[in-house]
Amino acid sequence: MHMTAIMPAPARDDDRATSYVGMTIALASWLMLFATLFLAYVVLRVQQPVWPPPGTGPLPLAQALANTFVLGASSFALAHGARQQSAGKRGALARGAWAAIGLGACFVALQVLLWMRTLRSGIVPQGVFGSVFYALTVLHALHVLGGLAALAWLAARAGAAGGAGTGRLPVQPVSMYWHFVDLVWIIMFVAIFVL
Amino acid sequence: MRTGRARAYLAGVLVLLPIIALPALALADGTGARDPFHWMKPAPDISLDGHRVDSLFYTVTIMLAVLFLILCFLLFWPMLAHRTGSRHQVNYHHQGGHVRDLLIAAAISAAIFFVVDGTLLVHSYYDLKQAFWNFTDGSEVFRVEIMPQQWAWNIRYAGADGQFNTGDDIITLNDLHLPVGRRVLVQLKAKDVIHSFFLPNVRTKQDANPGRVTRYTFTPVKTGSYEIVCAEMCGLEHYKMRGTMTIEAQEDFERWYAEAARFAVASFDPTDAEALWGWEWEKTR
Amino acid sequence: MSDDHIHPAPTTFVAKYVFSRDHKVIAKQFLFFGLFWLLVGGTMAMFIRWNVAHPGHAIPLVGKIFYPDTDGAVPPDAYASLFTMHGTIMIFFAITPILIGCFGNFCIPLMIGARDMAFPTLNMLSFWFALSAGVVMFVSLFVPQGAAAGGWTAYPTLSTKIGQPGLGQTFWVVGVFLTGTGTIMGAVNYVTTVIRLRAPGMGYMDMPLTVWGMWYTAVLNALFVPVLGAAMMLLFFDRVFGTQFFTAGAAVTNGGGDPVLFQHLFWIFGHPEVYILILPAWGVIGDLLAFFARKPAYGYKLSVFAMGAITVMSAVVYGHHMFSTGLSPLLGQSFMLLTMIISVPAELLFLNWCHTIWKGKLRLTVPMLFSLGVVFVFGLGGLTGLYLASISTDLYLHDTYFVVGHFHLTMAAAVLLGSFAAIYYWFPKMFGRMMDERLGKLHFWLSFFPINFVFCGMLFGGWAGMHRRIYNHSVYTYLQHLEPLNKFITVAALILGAVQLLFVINFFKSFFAGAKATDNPWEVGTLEWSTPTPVPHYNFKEIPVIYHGPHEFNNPRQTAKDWIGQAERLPDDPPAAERIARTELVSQPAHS
Repeated sequence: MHMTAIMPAPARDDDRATSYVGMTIALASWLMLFATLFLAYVVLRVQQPVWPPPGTGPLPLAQALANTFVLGASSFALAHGARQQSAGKRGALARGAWAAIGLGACFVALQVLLWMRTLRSGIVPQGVFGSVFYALTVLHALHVLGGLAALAWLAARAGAAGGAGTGRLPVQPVSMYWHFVDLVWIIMFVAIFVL
Repeated sequence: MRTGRARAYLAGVLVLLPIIALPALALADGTGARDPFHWMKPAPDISLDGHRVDSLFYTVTIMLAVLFLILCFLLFWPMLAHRTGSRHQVNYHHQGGHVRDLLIAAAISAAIFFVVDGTLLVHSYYDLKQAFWNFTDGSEVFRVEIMPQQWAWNIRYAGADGQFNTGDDIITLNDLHLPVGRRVLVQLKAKDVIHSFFLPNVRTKQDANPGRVTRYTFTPVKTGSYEIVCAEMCGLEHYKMRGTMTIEAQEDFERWYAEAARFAVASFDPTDAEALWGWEWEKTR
Repeated sequence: MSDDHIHPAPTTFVAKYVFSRDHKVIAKQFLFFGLFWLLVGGTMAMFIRWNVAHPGHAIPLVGKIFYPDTDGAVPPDAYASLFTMHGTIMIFFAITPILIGCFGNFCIPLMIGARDMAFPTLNMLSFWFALSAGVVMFVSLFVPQGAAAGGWTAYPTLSTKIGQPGLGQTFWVVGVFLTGTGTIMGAVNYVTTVIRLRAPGMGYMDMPLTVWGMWYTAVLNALFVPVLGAAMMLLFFDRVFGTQFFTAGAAVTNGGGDPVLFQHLFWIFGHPEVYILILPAWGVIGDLLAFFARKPAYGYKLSVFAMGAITVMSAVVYGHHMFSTGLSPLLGQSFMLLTMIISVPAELLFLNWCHTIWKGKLRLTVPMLFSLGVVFVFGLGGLTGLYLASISTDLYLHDTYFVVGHFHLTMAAAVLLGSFAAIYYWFPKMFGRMMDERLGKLHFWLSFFPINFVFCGMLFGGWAGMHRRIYNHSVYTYLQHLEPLNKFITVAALILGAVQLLFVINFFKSFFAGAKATDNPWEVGTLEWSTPTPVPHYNFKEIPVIYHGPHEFNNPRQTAKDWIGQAERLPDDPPAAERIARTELVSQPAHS
């Protein structure tokens, strides 16, 4: 009675499309998380007569801008490696991923330096300004650390695959996450440091 | 089939029990002998506008009772009449996919929406505009500042100079006196956690938040002593955060006010930083 | 991870039952996890009710075990913890695991013809996050200074160190965050699985309503649980690192933050959450009413769109939880209007349910009775919601037992009866045995009356002005006369609690000694019943091609029986290739 389709071995495109859909939804979820944090920031800020509140020193804009470039470069390195790899260049993915990890770790280190500097200049995680600044940047940095772990796994696997056979690796979802984290930082940079 | 049907009828009768059983509680309560609904009576309405809530509630309750009885019929009749073995044919083709079916469903929903929801929307709109959220301020309004804390109501009157947060302010704890017949405007600001200023006899409430002023207005029209309730969970003794509101005739109130003002001036201690916990009256935006 | 090919079945006990990636096993893990917490939360409810009727009096029998210091009576601080933890547990650890964790996991792949979830490892992690959250919550019950006591809504500043200095509230925040993380993992999985892994020929409009309900719920979970997560993080920072997001400068507090901000964040999540809990139940009963009325679900597409409309609308009505906070009148009135508009799709759903059973051939089985019960109690709950949507009446009823009665009718009674419907209905497929029909009917009728007495009684108490979360209502003179009502509710609640023993007995009796279930005991056509019982590890030996909708009952084209399987090809159905082609672009390709 039952007409059935005999399923062949899985097509790789199919796997990719599924993980693409999954990652898109996961990122929508993460987007809501950061959107909520930004909403909290906006609500708290509009209630203040002046921003930053009196007695709170200015944030180091130039250093934050440098961080922005570092993270942007990391995103670019990963994208470039993935593109080269799919164009047939062996080992490009692993190289790109390691570059992205290096730059990403550099970003985290620079963030730590930035926090040390702001703490020295008297901006403490209290009061509405300090609360927003530290909570948002720390939560973002934690997401960067998560991304670094994923990238390290990807780079190791890509390295182990010897430059070939990287097609089965979840390059796309990891890249999507990494670019997302980068994008969030750019918004955060503009919202917290520039505006 | 017959026993099945009998059982189903029994079930239908049993379902109506909640409606019958709850008023029957009145019988268990001796004091309610005169009024069968004594067991669920709200506190008496003592304000100019509280009747708006009561009448809207009762009007909508009648509408919803009709809808609910229709739902019960639609639910229980098939349980009785449309069971396995009943003689009618199941109409496979009538699945509600036709434009006509959609229009009927839309018409029914729209009718319910416009009648029931419409009643609520229109009444709410005018109730708020004219009464509950009508915070117009002026000399005819009687002003009070209230700062709830864990677990009491700090109450402040402007005193002789008409200015709040000055040395001649009258301050009471859990004891709100108001003149009958004059509109009252309360400004609320919490001391520690969120509280909610609830007067069951006035049929409305307003949260008091730390750090921002909220407003509450009503016109008492009946003298007597009534309860002030905290309606927002505020910690361990939330349940006994109870104040008293005394509504008095104008002359009685004035007597109380003059006496209290005398005490206030005498007992004010300018060195006590805590004494001026009030705030400058916030003008209506 | 694709599930097109058959994974080898796990062989060791640990891989099979503990760290399982099989959606059916994870479903059972969620079921037992949820039932355990249902017992805990339900017991708490009994304690709460006892105390409302007899404040400060010793709980009979068990009181001395739990409250030895007070000779068996619930002290006020423990009472606050009780209602806080009751709410938290029931929502995050009982209903969510049972209805979404268990039946979402069990039904989605089986009903859409997939071998497993799209991401089985993520699925396993989802359960382990929920479990670790459960452990944190359980531990929090025993920390010094007691469990969280700021209400399940955890409004600051009461939930900050100002009001809750103890560890319990911090644990609570961590627990809610962890379980939320698990929920999001599940949600990502459900949404992806439905989009990607439907069997060839199964268009979106061929999916059972259960799958639709779960899918909408998953979408809401994926989008709005993160909002709660963010709020929890900020509250955590406020508690642990001394930031000041939610503490404003006031007489005894300092900070430039805003406690009302938390309420906004909480209800941006919280209102979708109530639909998160009810949508799966709506889906399940939408199916079961049709299955047991032996009729196609009336207005199937309209139901799907109505549920979709409610899903979308649920995101923009949250302000009705905050009418008394001092919202601007314009904002308040807008939220009132939007909230009222939700009643329209809800009415359409009710019309469809009533129309589905009208002139059917009703089989009043236990799952059917529970489904009809859902319509009844949700009717009551939905209608009473109107008073709370209208600001004028809400300003009186807000934070009274009217609200408690209303949301228990919708979120507790309707969802609980819906969960029971689902358990009785899918038990044969999950465990291979039938549940006892007579015990089940007894369970239904003996639960149905008390559950209505309890929550309708609360509506009356609320109308009389009794505010919620109070330890002892008799300190107020205007509430004195509510004592008979409160005692009545408590008696009904205790009966309701005791009757659940019938379910426990039935569950275990049927689990070990129930009659062996056939593959399709209810004679319905959805895909899970076309699999053998017990369902093999790979679900479907061959992925079926779908020819029919989920509710093909009494179709004149099939005269041999009154139902048609979704994968059953009738002689005049189009050929397989044509069916496959129609879903090829949106579903998994059958051939590469």
